[in-house]
Amino acid sequence: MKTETLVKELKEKKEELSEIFLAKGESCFQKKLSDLYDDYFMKSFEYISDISNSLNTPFAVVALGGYGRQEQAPHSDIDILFLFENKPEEEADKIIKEILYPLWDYKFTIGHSTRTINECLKEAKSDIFNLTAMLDSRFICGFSPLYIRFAEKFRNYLSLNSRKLTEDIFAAAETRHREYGNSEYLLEPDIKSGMGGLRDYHTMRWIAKVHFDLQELKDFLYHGYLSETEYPEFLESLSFISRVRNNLHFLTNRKCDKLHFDHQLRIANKLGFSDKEGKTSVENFLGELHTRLNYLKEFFLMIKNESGRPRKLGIKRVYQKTTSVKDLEIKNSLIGFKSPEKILNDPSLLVKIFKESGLKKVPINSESKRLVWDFGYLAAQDKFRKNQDNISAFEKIMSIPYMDNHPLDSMLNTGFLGVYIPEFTDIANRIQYNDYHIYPVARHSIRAVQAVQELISEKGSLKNSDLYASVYSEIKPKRVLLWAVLLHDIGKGTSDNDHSISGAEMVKKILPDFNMKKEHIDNIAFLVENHLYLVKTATRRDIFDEETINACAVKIKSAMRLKMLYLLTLADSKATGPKAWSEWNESLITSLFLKTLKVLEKGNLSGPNAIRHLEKKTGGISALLKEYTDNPEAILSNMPATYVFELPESDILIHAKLYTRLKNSGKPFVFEVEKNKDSGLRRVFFCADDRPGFFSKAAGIFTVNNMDILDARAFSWKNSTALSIFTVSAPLDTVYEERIWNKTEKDLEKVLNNEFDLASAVMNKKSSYGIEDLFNTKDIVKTDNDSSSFYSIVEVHTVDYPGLLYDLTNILYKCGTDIKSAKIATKTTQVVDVFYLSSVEGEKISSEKASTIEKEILRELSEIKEAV
Amino acid sequence: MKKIEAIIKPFKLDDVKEALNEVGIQGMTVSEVKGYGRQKGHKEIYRGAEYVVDFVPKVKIEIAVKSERIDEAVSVIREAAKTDNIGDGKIFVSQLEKVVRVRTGETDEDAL
Repeated sequence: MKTETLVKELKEKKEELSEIFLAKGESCFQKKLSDLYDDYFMKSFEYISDISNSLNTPFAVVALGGYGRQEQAPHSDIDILFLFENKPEEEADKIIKEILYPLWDYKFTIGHSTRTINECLKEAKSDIFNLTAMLDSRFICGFSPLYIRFAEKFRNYLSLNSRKLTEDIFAAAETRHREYGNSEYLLEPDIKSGMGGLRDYHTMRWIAKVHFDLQELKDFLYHGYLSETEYPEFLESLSFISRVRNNLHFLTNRKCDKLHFDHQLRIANKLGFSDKEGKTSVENFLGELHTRLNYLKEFFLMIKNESGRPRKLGIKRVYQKTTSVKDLEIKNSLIGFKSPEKILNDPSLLVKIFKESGLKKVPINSESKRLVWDFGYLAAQDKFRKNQDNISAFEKIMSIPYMDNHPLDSMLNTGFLGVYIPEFTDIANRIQYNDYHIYPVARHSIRAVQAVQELISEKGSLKNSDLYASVYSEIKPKRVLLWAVLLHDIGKGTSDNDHSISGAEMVKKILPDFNMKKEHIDNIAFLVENHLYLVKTATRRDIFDEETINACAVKIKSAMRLKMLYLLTLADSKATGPKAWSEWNESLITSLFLKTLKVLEKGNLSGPNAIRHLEKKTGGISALLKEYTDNPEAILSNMPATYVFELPESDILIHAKLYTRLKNSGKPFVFEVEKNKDSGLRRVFFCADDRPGFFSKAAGIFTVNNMDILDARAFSWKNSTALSIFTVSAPLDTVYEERIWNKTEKDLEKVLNNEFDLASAVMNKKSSYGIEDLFNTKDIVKTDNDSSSFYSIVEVHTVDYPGLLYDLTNILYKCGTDIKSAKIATKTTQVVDVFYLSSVEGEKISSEKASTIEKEILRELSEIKEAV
Repeated sequence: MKKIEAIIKPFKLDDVKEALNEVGIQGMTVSEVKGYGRQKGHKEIYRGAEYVVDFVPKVKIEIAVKSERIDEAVSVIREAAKTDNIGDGKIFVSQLEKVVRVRTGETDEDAL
């Protein structure tokens, strides 16, 4: 038959086979497809030999790569080698094209090469990819002695170089893993090249081929690479992933090995997954897929650990690690139990082996992993769990940085973790199908614990790792953070809607078993319950608004808890996957963290009881306000936390009443005077529309009306209302005091309407009183731009004189700043005035600007003193 | 047809989206961006080390509307994105030459 007819036949048969696969899920699809190709090559070779007598140089047709393994996916390349004794003559080239042309015409993708035996060996030596393709070679048809000679020479090469080739093959696998990522953790795994993907299985095969010339899969079993129980699991995983791959090829109609979101649902349905146990078909499908990928990855790592290491120590002396832990031993760079009986005598070995494996960076040998699985039940006993040494060992394990064969991963894979913390089994294969979480929750939890160490490691490429490290170093005790990270998603095992809340409840039940103090348990429960709080606040609230920060501080209450929550939040995002972790998100969260920390450490709300006090007070004020207004919350919500914190309830109540009056009157300001007959002092409460300069003008008016300002406070509410309280000496004429207050009000109104030259009036007063500076006080101005995230704090020490407050506030006003709050105190002739400033636009002012203000105040003060 | 690019505060995204939906303007492209305008970056000090945020995280939304709706769309976005504080963002409007819907091949206003 002519080759073109043969290709037509091949195409038809392939379509037929595909239909059967799609309809019924043919299990041997890949083998059968590869048989069809074999058939084509055999028949076309026959045809060519018949018609061509000029073929003097015999050759062999050899299948390579996946085709060689008889694992031909629907749209994979057909890798074919035409093997010659000597350099082929031109005629041969034509014959080969006769075989290949029709395949090209019918859109089969072919990877072909024409080589002599020596060329093959040369290629294998120079390029690892050629080598591995040849490791899978299989004779199809043609002159078989040629292939046998090639196979012998190749085999010989493999045996002589097995150590180096093993290293090269694993090195290539590592590069591939770096490039494709750990498919287990990727939202859209590459089921061929990712970790746990089919390439890992191929790598296992290549290694086995190099070491003992593997002929069939069962050889893994015969050579002890896999145990009797592991082998069937291995086959099943392989067949499942291949089935997914076949479907993926059909679905996309091309060679596609990355499982994109839009394919996941269709493939889940195709493979017969359905919605059950409260999970969607996709979640069930991905759960299965990830379990399978993980099996393959484990098998891969096992073979890597056990065969990738030099066995004959005599040849090259390698540094041997040892262990001092009784009843454990390190052999061939793998750690294991000395004997199974030892575990029964001392069950704590079950946790010791993981700890030692992590500390010494030696993987656990497969036999011992099996023993952990078999004897794991011992860890379920109370005396095991409550044993302080075991707990400390486990906590130590949680602080070991991420590495291959991390003990936490081994603990999960050997089922130990599920026995030790039974609640973990409920989240072990729990997958959530959304853009963020896609792999089992237990694995995510473990990743998060490892991520804590990754965040703080100097090697980390993260921009802020020194900040994380600094925060981590201040955390005490670290176990609280580590447990919180491990258990943050534990509530996902329940069917409750809010896993944070149910998680917090579970934590309270789990942790007493691990000798945790009540105080720590409460903190862990808080962290678990609020593990999404910082992310939500950072992305859904205005973090440049002081009140957001104060609310955050009020919620979290202590700097230590905030630090823990911060690292938990970052570790959680980092372990969730590339979509949750971005520099953009991180910078929002870090800003929120630093601002809130400042409030808890330096601000007015710092101190151990401040927050509790504030909460209590807010409740009290709300109750008082109820007598005056139906909606106390509306007024209360305008009050900044610092304002509520600093003023007594009675003063706040006066302001609240004034505020109602202001709104009803339509005036720019209202005020009330509180008289204290005994002391001869008056406290004047203002409530006004917040406009820059009001505080300054009010201060000036007191001076003009011959009242000394002894003390003053200024605040702003969130709805652009300015509140202040001045403590002033009583007016000179207390008999007709009301008249003076009326005049004061009129004066201030005039000033605001620009009908009164306040500056000159104050100057006149200054000149007539003079400045008495008995002690020759030195003016001191300090600016602090670090203590608050929102304001620059300016502190002025100087000698008191009438009009000082007006002068100071006026300078600040002229510098383009807005006084958000102020604290004025006079001690005999000395004053200490503290101002919290922002720019007129409400932004924090820069350090440069702050130092300009500092100089400006000093200059103006000395000018004023000279002028008077 | 006009194209609007609006830079807004991240937490205002939902408000803007809803406000636009309410007036029947649907579809937008959202990206997480960083930048600065008059609200310069800021720095925070922690244990003596400075953590400078020179580019403030913002959200950029892009929408295309018919020319006659541009004023309405801009004012809806402005109202929804406003906090009256510095750093509320900016809205850029530009002329749109051509629009094609990928699936159907419809063009210009039909494709909006």
